[in-house]
Amino acid sequence: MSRTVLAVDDAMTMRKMVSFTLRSAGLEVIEATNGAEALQKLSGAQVDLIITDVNMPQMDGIEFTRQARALLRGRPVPILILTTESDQSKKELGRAAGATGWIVKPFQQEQLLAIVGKVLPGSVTAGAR
Amino acid sequence: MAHLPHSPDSAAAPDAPVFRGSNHRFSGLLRRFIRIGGRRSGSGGTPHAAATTSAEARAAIDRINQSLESSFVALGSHFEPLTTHMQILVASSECLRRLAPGTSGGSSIFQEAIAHLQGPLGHIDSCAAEQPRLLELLGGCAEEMRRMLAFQTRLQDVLAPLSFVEILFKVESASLDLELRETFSTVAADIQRLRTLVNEAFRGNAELLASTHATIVGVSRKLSTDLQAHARASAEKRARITAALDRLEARLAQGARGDVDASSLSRDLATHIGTVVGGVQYQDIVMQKCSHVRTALEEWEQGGACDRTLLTVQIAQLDGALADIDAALEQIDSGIQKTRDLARSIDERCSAQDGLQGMAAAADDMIRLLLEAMRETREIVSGSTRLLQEAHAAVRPAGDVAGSMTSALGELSINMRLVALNAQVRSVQLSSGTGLEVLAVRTAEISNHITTVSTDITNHLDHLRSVTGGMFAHFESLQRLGADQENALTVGSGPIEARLQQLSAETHNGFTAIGHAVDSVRTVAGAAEAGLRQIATDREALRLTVDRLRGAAEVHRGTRDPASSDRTASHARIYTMESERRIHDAIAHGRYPLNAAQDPTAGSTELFVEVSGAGPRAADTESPSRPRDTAPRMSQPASSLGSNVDLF
Repeated sequence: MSRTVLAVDDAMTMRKMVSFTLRSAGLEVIEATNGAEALQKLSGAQVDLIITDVNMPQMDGIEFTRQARALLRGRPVPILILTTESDQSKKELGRAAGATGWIVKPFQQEQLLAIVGKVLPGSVTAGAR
Repeated sequence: MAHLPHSPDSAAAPDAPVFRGSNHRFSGLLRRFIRIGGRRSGSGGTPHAAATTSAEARAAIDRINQSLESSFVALGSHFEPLTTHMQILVASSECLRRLAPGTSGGSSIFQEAIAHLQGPLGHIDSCAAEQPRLLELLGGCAEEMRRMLAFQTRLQDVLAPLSFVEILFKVESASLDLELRETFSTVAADIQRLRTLVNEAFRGNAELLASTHATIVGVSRKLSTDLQAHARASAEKRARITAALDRLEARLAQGARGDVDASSLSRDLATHIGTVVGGVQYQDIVMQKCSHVRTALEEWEQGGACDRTLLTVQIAQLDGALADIDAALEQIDSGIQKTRDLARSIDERCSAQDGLQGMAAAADDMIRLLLEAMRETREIVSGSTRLLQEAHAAVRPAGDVAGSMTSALGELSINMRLVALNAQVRSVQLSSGTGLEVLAVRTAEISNHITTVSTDITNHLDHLRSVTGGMFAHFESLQRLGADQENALTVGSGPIEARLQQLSAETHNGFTAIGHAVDSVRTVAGAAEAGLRQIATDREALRLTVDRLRGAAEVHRGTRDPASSDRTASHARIYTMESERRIHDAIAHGRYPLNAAQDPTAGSTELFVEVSGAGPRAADTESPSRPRDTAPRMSQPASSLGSNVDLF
C-alpha cells in the first residue's frame, strides 16, 4: 500500500525535487508551501510522514512541527526537517518540537530515500534506491 | 566550483578576469552557456553612489532570484519526462534483450514451436521410413494380382474340354427316351451355365485385376516419389531451423558479450538523474544566501552608515552564491550529459548489428522460419495423409476381387462336382454300352481338375487377402497417425503462432519505443540545457552585481563605522548556513580570505563536514585543489544515511 508524505517547503524547486524523488520511489506526496498550509492539509488527510523546511513565511518548520505533533495526538508519524539550517541550537529546537530527524541541504536522492526507508519501513519501492 | 571567492583586496583590481581559477574545465563549461569576458563595472564612486549601487544590487538580486527560481522550476519540470523516457528506453532495451531468445511469458516460444513441430516432422520421416515396407506390400499385392491372371488361363484350360463334353452329352442322349434326354440336357445346360459363370466371373474380375494391378504400380510410383519429396522437405526444414537456431545462439552470445543488464542501466540512470535533481537544490541555497545579503544591504541603506567590512561580507556571501550556481550548473549539466550519453549508448547498442539489432534480426528470422515451418509441415502432413488415403482407396478393389473370386470359384467347384455326380448316376442307371458313362467319367475328371485349380486359386486368394489386409492395416495406421499429427498441429499451432506473431510485434514495438524514447530524451535534454543557459545568464547578472558592490566597497576602503559593525554582527544571526557563518566570522576577525580547507565557496558542502562524526569524503580527497562538489555522490552506500543527517 502506498504511503503518503506531506512535503512542506516555500521553495517550489525543493518541493518539486522532494516530490519527484519520493514519487519515483512509489510514495504519494502532498505539497504545502508553509507551516500553516501544511497544518490544514494534515488535518484533512492521512499522512504517514512529514518532511518540512524550517525557514518559511507565515509559520516556520519548528512551529509547524510542534503544532503537527499536537494535531497528530500521539500518532507515530515521523517528521523530518529538511533545511539549509545547520545550527545546533536550531536542531535542538527541532528535536524539542518533536522532529524525528534533521537533514541538512543539499542531500542526494538516494540518501533521502534511505532515510525515509528507515523512519517509515517498507514504504520505499525496492530498486528505487 | 573552481575558484575561491575574491578576497576583499582582490576587489581593488577591477579589471581582473572573473574566471581566473585553476579549473579551466569548469570555465569552459560555463562559457558553453554564456559568453564570458565582461569586465567589472560600476565603481561606486562616492558613498552616496555606493548606496545607490546597493539599492540597484538589491533590485538586481530580486530579479535574479525570481529568474533563477523560474529557471530551476522549469528545469525541475523536465525531471519526470526525462526519467520516464529513460525508463522506457531502459525497459524497452531490456524487453528486446529478453525477447531475442524467444522468451515470452517465462518460456522460450522458439523451443515450444520446435517441440511442437517434432511430432509432425517425425511423422513425415516415419512415413518416408515406411515407404520401402509399403512398396513391398504393394509389390506383393501386384504379384498376387499377376498370378491370379495366370490362374485364369489355367482355369480356362481346365474348362475348355467341357464345351466338347456338353456337345457329346447332347449327341449321346439324343437316342434316349425323353426323360433321360432331358436329364442329360440339364447336365449339358449346367455345364454351359457353369462355364458362362466362370467366364463372367473371370472376365469381370480379370479387368478389375488388371486395372488394380496398374493402379498399384502407379500408387507405388507416386508414394515413392512423394514420400521421398516429403522427407527431403522435412529434412530441409529441420536443417533450416537448426541453422537459424545456431545463428540466433551466435547472435545472442555475441550480444551478451557487450550487453549491459537493465539493473545496471537503471542504476546508472538513477545516478545521473540523481545528479541533476541534486543540482537543483542549489536554487534554494542561492536564494537564501541572496536573501540574507539583500536584507543586509537594505539595513545598511536605511541606517545610512556603512563600513567596508559589511560590504565585504556581502560580497563574499554572494561569491558563495555564485559558487553554488556554478556547482549547480556543473552538476546538472553533467547529469544531463550523462543521461543523454546513456540514451545514446542504449540506442547504439540497440542499433548495432552485433547487439540487439542483430539479436532481434536473428529472432525475427527464427519467427518467420518457424511460422513458415508450421504452415509447410501442416501441408506436408496433410499431403502425406491424403496420399495414403488415395493409395488405400486405389488398392481396395484388390480385396474386393479376392472376395468375389473366392465365392465364384467355390460355387463353380461345388456345382461342377454335382453335375459330374448327376451324370455318373444317370449313366450307371442306363447300364453300360453307351458313351454317356465315358462322358460322365470325363466330367468327373474335369470336376476334380476344377476343384484342384479352385483350391489353388482359393489359396492364392487367401494369400492375396492376407497381403491386402496387412497393407490396408498399414495404410490405415499411417493415415490415423497422420490425421492425429495434423490435428495436433492445427490445434496447437494457433496459440504458438499467435505468440510468435506477438513476439514479432513486441520486438517491433520495442524498437519503435526505443526510437521514440531516444528522440524524447534528446528533446527534453535540449530543453533542460536551454534552462541551464538561462541560469548561466542569471549567474552572469549576479556576478556583475557582485562587481558593482566591489566598486562600492572601494569607496569605503579604510572606513570602519562602529554602528555598522554592530549591525553586521547582528545581521549574522539570520544566517542559516554554516558557510555563511564561517565567511562572516572570518571577515569579522580579519582571517579572510579563508584557506583552502576553509573554502567558503564549498558553500553547503561544509554543512556536511560540520555535522559530528563526518569524515572527509572520498571525492574530496581525490582532488584537494578542486572544490568539493556541493552535492553528495550517488555511489555512497544506501545504508549510510550521510553526515548531514541526524535522527533523533
